[in-house]
Amino acid sequence: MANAHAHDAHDHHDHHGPDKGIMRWIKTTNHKDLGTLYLCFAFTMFFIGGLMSLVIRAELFQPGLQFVDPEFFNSMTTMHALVMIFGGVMPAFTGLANWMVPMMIGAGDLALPRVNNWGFWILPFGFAMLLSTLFMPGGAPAGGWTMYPPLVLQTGNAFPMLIFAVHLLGISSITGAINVVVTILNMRAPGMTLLKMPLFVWTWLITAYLLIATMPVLAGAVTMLLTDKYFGTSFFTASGGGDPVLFQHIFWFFGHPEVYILILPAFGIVSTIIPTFARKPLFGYASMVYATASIGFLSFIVWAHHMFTVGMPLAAELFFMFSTMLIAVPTGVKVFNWVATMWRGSMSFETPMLFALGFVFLFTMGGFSGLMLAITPVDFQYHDTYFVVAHFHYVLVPGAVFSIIAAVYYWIPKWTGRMYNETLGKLHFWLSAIFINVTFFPQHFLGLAGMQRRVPDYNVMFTDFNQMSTIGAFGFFLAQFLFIGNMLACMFGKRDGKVPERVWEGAHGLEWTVASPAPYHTFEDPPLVGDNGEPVAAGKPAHGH
Amino acid sequence: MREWDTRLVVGPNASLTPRQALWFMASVSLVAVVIAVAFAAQGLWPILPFAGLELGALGAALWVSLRRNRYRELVDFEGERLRLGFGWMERGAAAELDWPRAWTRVELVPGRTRNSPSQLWLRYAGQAVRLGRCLTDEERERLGRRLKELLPPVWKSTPVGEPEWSPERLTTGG
Repeated sequence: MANAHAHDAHDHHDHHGPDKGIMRWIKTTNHKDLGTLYLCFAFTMFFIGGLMSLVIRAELFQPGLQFVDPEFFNSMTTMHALVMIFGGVMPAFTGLANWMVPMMIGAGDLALPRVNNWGFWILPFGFAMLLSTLFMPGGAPAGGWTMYPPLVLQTGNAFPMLIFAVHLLGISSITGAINVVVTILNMRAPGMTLLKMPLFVWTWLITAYLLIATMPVLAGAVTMLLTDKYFGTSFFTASGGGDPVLFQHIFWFFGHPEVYILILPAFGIVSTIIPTFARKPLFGYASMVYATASIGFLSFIVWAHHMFTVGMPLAAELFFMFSTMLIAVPTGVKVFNWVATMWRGSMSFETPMLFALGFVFLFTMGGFSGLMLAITPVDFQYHDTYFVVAHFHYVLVPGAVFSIIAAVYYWIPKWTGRMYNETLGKLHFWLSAIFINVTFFPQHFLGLAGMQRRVPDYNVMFTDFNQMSTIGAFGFFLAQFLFIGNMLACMFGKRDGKVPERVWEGAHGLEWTVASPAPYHTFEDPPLVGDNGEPVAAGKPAHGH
Repeated sequence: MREWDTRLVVGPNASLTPRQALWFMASVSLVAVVIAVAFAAQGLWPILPFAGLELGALGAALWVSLRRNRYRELVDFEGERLRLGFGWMERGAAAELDWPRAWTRVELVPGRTRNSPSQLWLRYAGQAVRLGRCLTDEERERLGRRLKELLPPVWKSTPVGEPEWSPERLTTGG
């Protein structure tokens, strides 16, 4: 008993409020602070990765070697991918999950706030390690983000840094995924059953499941590369009886679910935004959930479509071709449902909606080129050409990145209590949509004509399309400064006029019942969720700051 | 036989049952272990320990959450006595207190900063116990008001009113 008193007396000084200055951000366990940190980190990485892409595109503006040597060019393609995937898109979605998942399910915070803090702060160290390789003797990794042996084993001093950085980024992803899973399962408000959860929460639950299932494969794969290089093992070394192709199998066994890790939360975002601006409930909610789960399942059985050309038995090629095509079915269900949601809706076209529509249109184009690549004999022709580059950039830039931008425009009034500048937002959308097509559409033609990827020089016949692509890339990069300026104004600008709790007329969900800006601790009293997913009783939301 | 007139039960909100947690853990483990074993059979055994570590972390996170869900604070009022119990369900009380009701004081301390959570304390003769850790500020305030009603100062002490026979339960949504 006495111990209990002493223990309690010691706790008298503990608190969970923010510290002042920099320590607030280092020590914070608050989901909103960490969401902001994740998003700021992700946009910094987008900027760095974007600069790398400009180096690539500048070099490819003309045939021949202009600005960089081939080794550095290959470093740029490798680092651009690693930075954009692990530093940009994944942390951005984790940031959005940090901000929105607790608010959407009526929870006060994530289930494991301290783990959340560690998960974030691993990231800057991981990327500091990875980016420091640019200044090392031998340069940064240049064997491609897929790290295929034996090429990657030729990396110099950067090699162990690459492996350790990938491990750190993996740990960060896993902590984030576990936190999201436990939060969604355990901290939903009374009445919020699984099939009343917003689609963004559902897609994140399935994403987290995929992350947990596949991350050990990546961790094991890169560890085996490390032991092959430094400890005399021969997992992937042919001279020692190993098989380099086996690495491709395990890498893509992780890599293809990773593709869906990068896009499923985007589906959730678009499924949130379209009903808001169509002023209609989402068409086919349950089918959306099942379609997402189906995509998650199928992602485990399609990996070898990335490596048709290594030489597989015909039966395997047929299996992976048909299973890949099967993904078009649940994806088609989603696209159909988005279109059906808009059908006869009272549509308006604010910036988040424009980006969501851009997503639907352009992601679908990326999906179609993916279907072309799924056809084995066709893939034999397209493999390692710019057609593949065009395909995955259509999926990831107007797909994942557009959805992240849409989400930020959609929720930033809730986060900051300030409305963004709509005119600038629309200008940002149109410039982005135009330049992204100028950048990547010509790459389809380059690939079909036979231009190889990851090569700094090319045949003179490819010059025109490459010049278009480079102009588009620079235009797209510059257009993002409109976004940065608009968002900085929301974060730090003068607050004129009050932003209402429900910022968008057609928005539904618990996050729109709290004040704008959302208070540091969101729900001071648990909301009770009714049949339609809206709060029906209790649930006195906290007041703003 | 009931030993209390009024009972307040304080516990966290929880939407996960142990059975659901078990099913979830089993499904993730099945997928992760099948994958790891399949690759181990191809000679790629280093995936196995990573899968084990990760499943261990997931299991630990679920276990911590389920353990927190079972935390309860019991405040029993019986005549002139106040009994406090803290602990986890199905394990018995980890700590118990028995104080004179008339000499026990309730104190709701606002958070140190505007965003710090408030603290609810019961004090008696130099001892202090913090209540409602798993509650939100609003709920703590409500609990504090109810405790003040049930713990009138000694100079205002009047015979305790009619016993309330049903336990009151407070849970948090966050």
